[in-house]
Amino acid sequence: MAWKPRIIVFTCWCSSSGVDQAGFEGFKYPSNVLTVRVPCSAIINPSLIVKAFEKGADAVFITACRPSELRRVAPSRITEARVSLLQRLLKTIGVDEDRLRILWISSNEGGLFSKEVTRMIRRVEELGPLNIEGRMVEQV
Amino acid sequence: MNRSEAELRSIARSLLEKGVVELVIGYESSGKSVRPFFASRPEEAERLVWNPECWFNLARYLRAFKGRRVAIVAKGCDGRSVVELVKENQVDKGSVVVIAVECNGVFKPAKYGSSGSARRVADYCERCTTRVSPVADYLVRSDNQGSLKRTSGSGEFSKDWLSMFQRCLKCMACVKSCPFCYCTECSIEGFKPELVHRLRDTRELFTFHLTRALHMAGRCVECGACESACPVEIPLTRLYHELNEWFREKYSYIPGRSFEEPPPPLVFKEAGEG
Repeated sequence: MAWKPRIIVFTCWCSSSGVDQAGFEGFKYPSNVLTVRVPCSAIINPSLIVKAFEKGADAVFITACRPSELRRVAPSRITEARVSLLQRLLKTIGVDEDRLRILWISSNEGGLFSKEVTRMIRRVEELGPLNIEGRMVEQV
Repeated sequence: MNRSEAELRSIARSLLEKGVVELVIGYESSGKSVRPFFASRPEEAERLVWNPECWFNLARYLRAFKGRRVAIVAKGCDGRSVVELVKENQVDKGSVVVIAVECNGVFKPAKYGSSGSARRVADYCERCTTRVSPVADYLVRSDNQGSLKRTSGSGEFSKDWLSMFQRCLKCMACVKSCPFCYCTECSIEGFKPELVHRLRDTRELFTFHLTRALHMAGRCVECGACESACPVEIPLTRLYHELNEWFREKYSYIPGRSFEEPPPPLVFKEAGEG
């Protein structure tokens, strides 16, 4: 069986309706995308992203509200800083930083989501599977 | 006994005799190497030593003596740990007396079974720029003014972190030796089910090391205690150094530099417009 990339998408409450919108409007995106809805993007603990990688995700995608559309302190900025730090860490240990991405998405932008997630899958297909567990098995 | 050791002992003795502090945290000789030592009587000050074997970060113990007046023998990195712990409200600024010792780098600890003839300065000490603690009530200058002989054989190092993590035994020596891993309930076990289980061998080493690195980011003072304590010699300080670089580039923040700089995550502000 040909390898297919597995992608975890963490969506915040508002952008999850954007992901829904992709379905309503009839945009297509690959089926190997698993969406996880969380109350707010800033609640995503970076450890959970790391755990997702270890448990077999080839890439993690985060959709969050546009910072300009939020009222006071922008939780999306907190997420952005965390993701930037985590990308630096992934790069250091030799995992391509393109495997983690953040996308600003509003609740009416289903088309944008479907376009971006498809592009991400193309990129991960170029990179190939993420071998963390594979290495484990070899060394045991 | 050399001059700096004599000076250190006389400072510790006078502090204990005058009752300025209840306890002096320092190092004592344990045959070949050194071990942490807690002097509570003036005559015990004679057992204190200071030499390049003292890699351990004594700031680790400060939190256990919170509320009591203690003195600590501090290298440059230990002093930075004290600053960072004060900023994190783990240590009372007024109750700690810092006896700063000038440090020219510590030796990589000799592993069991090695002959120990050719000792060299640890890797992290070659990156170090703080030879004297930024906070000091007393200062003990070192005998030899120059730095220790730096005989780093290999400038190149392995970047295969994923396979280095697989060497990990999950012994938690890095956690136990780190002055900043002080949480009574560790976040890796705060989730249900746990992110990483300490005892059950489920090979969650990738998550463990990356989580620890993320929690060290912007706090690690690169004292290298974790790296020296590691029985399988994973160069952890190098990993945390990379993340500190990120904080330095983005917020120009260096952990433990001064009391005035607040840690960036505490004063996070949104920047720009997206």
